[in-house]
Amino acid sequence: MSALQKGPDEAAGGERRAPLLELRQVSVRYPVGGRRRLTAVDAVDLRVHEGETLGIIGESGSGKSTIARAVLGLAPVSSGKLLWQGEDVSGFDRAQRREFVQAVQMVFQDPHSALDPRRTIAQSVREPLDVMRRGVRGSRQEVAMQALADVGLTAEIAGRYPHQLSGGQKQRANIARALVTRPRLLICDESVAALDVALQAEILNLLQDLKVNYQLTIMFISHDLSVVAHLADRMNVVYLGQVVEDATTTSMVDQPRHPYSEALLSAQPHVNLHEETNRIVLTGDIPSPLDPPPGCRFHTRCQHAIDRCATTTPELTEALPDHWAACLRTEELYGLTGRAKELI
Amino acid sequence: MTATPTSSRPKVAAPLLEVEDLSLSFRSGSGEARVLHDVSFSVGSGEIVGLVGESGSGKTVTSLALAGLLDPRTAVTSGNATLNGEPLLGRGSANRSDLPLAMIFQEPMTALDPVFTIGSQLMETLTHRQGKSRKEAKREALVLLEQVGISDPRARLASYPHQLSGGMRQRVMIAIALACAPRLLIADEPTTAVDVTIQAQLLELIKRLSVERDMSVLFITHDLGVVAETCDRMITMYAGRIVEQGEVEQVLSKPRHPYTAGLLAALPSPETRGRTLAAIPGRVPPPTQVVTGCVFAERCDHRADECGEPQDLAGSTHQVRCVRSAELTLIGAQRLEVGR
Repeated sequence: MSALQKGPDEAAGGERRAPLLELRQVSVRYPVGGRRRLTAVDAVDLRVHEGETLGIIGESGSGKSTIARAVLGLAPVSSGKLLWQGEDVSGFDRAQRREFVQAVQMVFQDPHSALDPRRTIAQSVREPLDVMRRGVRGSRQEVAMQALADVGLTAEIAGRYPHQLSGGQKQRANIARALVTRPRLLICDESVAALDVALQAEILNLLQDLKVNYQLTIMFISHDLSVVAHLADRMNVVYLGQVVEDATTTSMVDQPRHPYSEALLSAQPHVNLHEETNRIVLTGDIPSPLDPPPGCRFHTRCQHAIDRCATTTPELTEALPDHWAACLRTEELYGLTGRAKELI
Repeated sequence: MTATPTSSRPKVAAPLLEVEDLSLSFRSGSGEARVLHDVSFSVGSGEIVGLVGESGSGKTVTSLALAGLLDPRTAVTSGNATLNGEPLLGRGSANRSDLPLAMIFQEPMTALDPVFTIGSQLMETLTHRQGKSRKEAKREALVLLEQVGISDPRARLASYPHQLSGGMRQRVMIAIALACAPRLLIADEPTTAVDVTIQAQLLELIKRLSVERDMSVLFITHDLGVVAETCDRMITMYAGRIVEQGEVEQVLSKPRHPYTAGLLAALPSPETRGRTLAAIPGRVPPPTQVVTGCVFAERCDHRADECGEPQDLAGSTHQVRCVRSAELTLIGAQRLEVGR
């Protein structure tokens, strides 16, 4: 098994088209004074296939938002490659760049601060088109109004200012703004975290409808496992800037192969009781990315850590078919079925 | 209902906190907005009671009224609330400090003072509320920090809030609350701002402290999962009214109010993947809107003619404010009979 240390898709078998978006060994580092650098994203490999919803989950400080920002060019890619439909984004000419920028749009977490308080909703939603100078003004307005209608906002609301809208309406407006350029990839960064459960359900339903109607591929970033598990086809678990597990949602939820994913799943409070569950409560906080632990970065909080974990850095390996985990002990802990706790 | 599968601790007959017909209005230029309507509930000794609802349902304002944190110039309260027999409402701030009540908030960074060390804030409470000398206060502060699970408490006394992580700050807030030797802890969304792994730690801590100190907790949250894991009883609020209350097991497995059932159905999970979630259309009516009948009716799937009539909170241990509750079959959470 350890010989199979390649990226998740190469071993998936069958001819798959180039992913819509691919991150290859992407790192994002920030200088933090002196000679020190903070590595927010560390050599991350990631693939988003056309039509797929990819969930990215992790605690705050895990670097999940930085991944999204790096894709959009809002964070500096220090090393590694960003591929759009198999082509290196850094090699794009002006026209390609322009196309890429329109094809990737983002919906942010806080619906209020993402809208300009001095512009009407229609102006804000039209703004990306104005910036791109697409078509004439009249047609831009038409596109904006159509996008607003598609997210369930009336023409009356289009003339209002953000403070006159509820949280749910504002988030709909943000989604409409992301849609006007007809993106192919929509990145949602904690887009429902600020909403109540009833509103959250509405926005999640809306995203699913839009995914079909606009033929979207979605990258959904969240710390909330139940939201990601509801929406995503595939999940990537991120810890301290590294992907520690990559699997289909079903496989991840049913049989996590990394102790961190298992702990995250176990920590999620749930109203449904399935079985006598033994909750895994991780001790301590996520370590500082300024000074990440050596070896496996999770070993300081892992209940299964052994000496080797502090010295050897685990690579993503295929623990189950199309299910990748970066843990030295995954085979030993989980075997082919069952969960780690049975071993202890 | 003496014992439930979720809780093994005995319930004391006389409740610690009793709230009767608590009503609250805010005076403003344009008139009065009534935000609480005859809210009555109790919290037993050592019991953890969850208060749930959407934003605007009145759960936070209930706790602020009980803690005496509302401005008496604009907030008009009526009704009764007693803690251990002592009246809570209409007290001046001067004679509030001897009440065995403490509160923790959602965002510990804004609740802690950024320019003072953890130690000085903790010791201030101890000297002020318990009349301890500085030396005693310091000793006690170390004990409290240890109790809330802060490692190396001696070093932490000299830390400023910004030097701590979100989870640590909330632990410090809990330590400061404990310094008031509370019989009742009001926790207003204490885990909403932290990660799920830290949330699990804090929930365990609050549960443990509740048992160890026989401390009651009024736990305000919008997260039904948290209620399921933490609370003994729960109260669902909607538009300033209690619409349902009862033992957590009962309410979650067999909700009797369509609003509680709606909140449950709106929860995403791995099992709901690929399906449309049952959203609750519409919004909580603004407090200025006068409603005579069921306040939830305009968003309710089960609305009928009789919903226009005024509704009472009916039932003994599992109370519900819905005239149709007897004829409705609402879907609850799937909970096994066995306890945890």
